[in-house]
Amino acid sequence: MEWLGATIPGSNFTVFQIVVAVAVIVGGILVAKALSLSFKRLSTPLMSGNDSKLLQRIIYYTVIVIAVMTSLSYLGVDFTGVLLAGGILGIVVGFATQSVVSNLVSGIFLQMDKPISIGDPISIIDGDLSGVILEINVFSTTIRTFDGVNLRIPNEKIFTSKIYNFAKNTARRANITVGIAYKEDIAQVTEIVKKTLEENPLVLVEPAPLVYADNLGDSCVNLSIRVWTPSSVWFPVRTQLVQQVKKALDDAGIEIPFPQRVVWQKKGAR
Amino acid sequence: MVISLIERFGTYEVRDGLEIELRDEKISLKNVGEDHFRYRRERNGEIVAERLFTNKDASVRLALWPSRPINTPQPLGHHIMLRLNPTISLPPKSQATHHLTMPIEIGVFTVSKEGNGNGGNNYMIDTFSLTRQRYALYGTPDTGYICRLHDTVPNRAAKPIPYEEAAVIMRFENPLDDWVTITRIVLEANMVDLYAKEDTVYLEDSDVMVEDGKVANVFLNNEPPLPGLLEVPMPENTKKIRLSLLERTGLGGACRFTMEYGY
Repeated sequence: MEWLGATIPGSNFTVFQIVVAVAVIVGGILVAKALSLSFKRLSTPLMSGNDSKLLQRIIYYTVIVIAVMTSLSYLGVDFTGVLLAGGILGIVVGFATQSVVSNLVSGIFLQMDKPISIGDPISIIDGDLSGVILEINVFSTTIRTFDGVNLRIPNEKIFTSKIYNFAKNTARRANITVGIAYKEDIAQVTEIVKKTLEENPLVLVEPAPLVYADNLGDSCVNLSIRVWTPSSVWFPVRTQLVQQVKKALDDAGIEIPFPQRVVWQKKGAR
Repeated sequence: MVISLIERFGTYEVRDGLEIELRDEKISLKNVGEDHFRYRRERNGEIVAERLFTNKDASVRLALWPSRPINTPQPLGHHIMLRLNPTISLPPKSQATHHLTMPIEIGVFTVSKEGNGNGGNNYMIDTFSLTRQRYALYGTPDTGYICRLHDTVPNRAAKPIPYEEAAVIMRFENPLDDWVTITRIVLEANMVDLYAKEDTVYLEDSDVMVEDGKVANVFLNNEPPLPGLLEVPMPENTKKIRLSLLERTGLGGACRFTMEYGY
């Protein structure tokens, strides 16, 4: 084993030092591969294939660079200059990629927090943007708006905005207001509306629908109708109900007045 | 084995001119060329469903079977809520059997002749209900269940309305030291197995076991409630779902639904 201590001609390194340095690099490659494969397995349910591959590569090469630097450091290579340059470069790159990192971190939190899932109808940015989630990637999320346009939104924007998720709950409430003339009997109208609601099979019986006189408006008495429906049919049920309630009131001869103002003319005025 | 329930439920040879009437619903088959057939269902003379299918080498039959009430007017959930009126009060440490009813729908299937009934390939081409459907939420809006709602009167004998309801013979057990009142039963429809004798349909053997003041378990025991009943075949996808649910419960043949939001 004496040969291990022998100096390699033309250098200051012993055979042992070279063997250790090579072993550190080989070990680093093996660790990089293992980490990258483990990440692949863990990330498969959480992110798309492309994002996963990108992060696998970053992990793989980072570990190898660390292994090579450790190996060279062991052989006596001085990295002080490199680290200083790297630090400055890091600050520069950090500033330049601030938004990228922010989107990446937001993407990771979106995956962990799960306020949205693929297929969910949502509304974000204070209701300015509504649509169905198509894809959630590490840096961005793709939404198909309700008018059929695909939109890619940076994850940071989604994560920091209010998210209305219309599919998260099993049931949703629909609110409709209908105005009736002051001369109408509120109890009779309430009965007509309740009967109309009962006839729609998609209006949930429990929680029970609510119909009540909400306020006395300028031109009419406003009735408030509150019904619960399965979330999946909320929109069609709400639109159906507006039509059905109007028809039922028309059939019963109940007046739904338009805004009107009574003008009194002073006697003798021209 | 050819499943042959009598009256309207059962299997039919696919032939031109076949007509089946069930109250306001009329089902008809028409040969539209070679081995192509048109299935049509009319309600009060208005066409409400139409399908085309191929009956190559006369290998297909048409079947009308009772089915789980979760498809009309559109699939919204897979639970059934039986609301009891009057409610049932159970004394401490007691057991009681009550006859209830649950809603059913009528499924129209194309069935491969090679494997008829539950061993065969049953494909549901249409489904309809002769009753007005109503739905209710069991639990909270965020984690509850959308259930097909049915009001039922507990009786000493099963009195289901044909083609609208199935008979439910249910045992109730209260192991607690206090009285409890059962106001509703919730079933997972995909676990439900139906049996029939002639055109009377029955839910499989079932129990309700009170667990505490709020929670009760509903057990479906995967066996007929009475001797001499035939098992009603189910669609292929329901068979698969049921199988996976059975495996998950770990109760052997029985299925359990835990009523965690009160009974």
